[in-house]
Amino acid sequence: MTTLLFWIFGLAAIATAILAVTFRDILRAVLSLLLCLLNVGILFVLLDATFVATAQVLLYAGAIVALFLMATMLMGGTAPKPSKIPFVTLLVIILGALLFVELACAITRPAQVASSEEELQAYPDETASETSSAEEKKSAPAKPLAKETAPQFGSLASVGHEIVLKYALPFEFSAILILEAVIGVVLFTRRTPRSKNKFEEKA
Amino acid sequence: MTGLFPYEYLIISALLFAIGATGVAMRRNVLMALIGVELMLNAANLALAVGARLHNNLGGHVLIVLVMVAAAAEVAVGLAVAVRLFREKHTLDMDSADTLRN
Repeated sequence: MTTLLFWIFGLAAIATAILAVTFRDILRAVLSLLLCLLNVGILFVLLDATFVATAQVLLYAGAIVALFLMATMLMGGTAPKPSKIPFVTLLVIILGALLFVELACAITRPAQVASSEEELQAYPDETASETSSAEEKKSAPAKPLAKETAPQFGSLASVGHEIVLKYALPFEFSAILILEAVIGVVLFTRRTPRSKNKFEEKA
Repeated sequence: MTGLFPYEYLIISALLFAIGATGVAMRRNVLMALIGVELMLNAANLALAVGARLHNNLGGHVLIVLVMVAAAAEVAVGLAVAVRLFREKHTLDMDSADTLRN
């Protein structure tokens, strides 16, 4: 069942991603991006990352796509034609395929080399009782992803616990980062008629 | 219910990343390039989720949340640059931002 769902939504994610990159109309591309993000959110659910899936829907599919839609409707239109140099598009696609092959090789290689066997195969098969921690990963080695994890693995409570207790400082720094980004964006896009006139006079 | 191999998720993630990178390089529109960047960040998030599940470690999920915050900030700044570019050049073509060249 999970396998079937994985293949359905994984392939849907890839198809919508390709659509998002190839659509000439930007609005359609943004809507395809929305579908792709939702599909990846479902993949997160299949990976027991329910909190991350929620954040994905709220933050990516909600806020970021809304920003893209606003920008598209503000500046809108269709994309300019692909590059005039004839072989650029083909070349870029070939390079993208090469990148994928490279990544695939990098992903599948450690299976044969297995420099540290325990590290690679250390996913627990039994349910952990408490919020899972790194110490619990040294249990029965199994090849596929473990069928069961802790019941609250990836839930809002456990991830929140982790954020507040172990990763509080990086989290606060991320808050400062986004505050700075918002202030910078407001300052950057603010219309200042007087200074603009001055600039035009100088130019 | 058969357990999936992590490689299948990772291959999907790699494919999404490659598609996003291709999109960034192929399209000359600023908004399309930003869409490609979003796809790449999302692919990285998927790989992080696989890692967290693989090692039963919630640090991966926390890192995903941080990456999402960074992605939101990046999109806000990127769209602000696009708005500024559109206001000054009246186009979204990336090649039009060549003021520093002359």
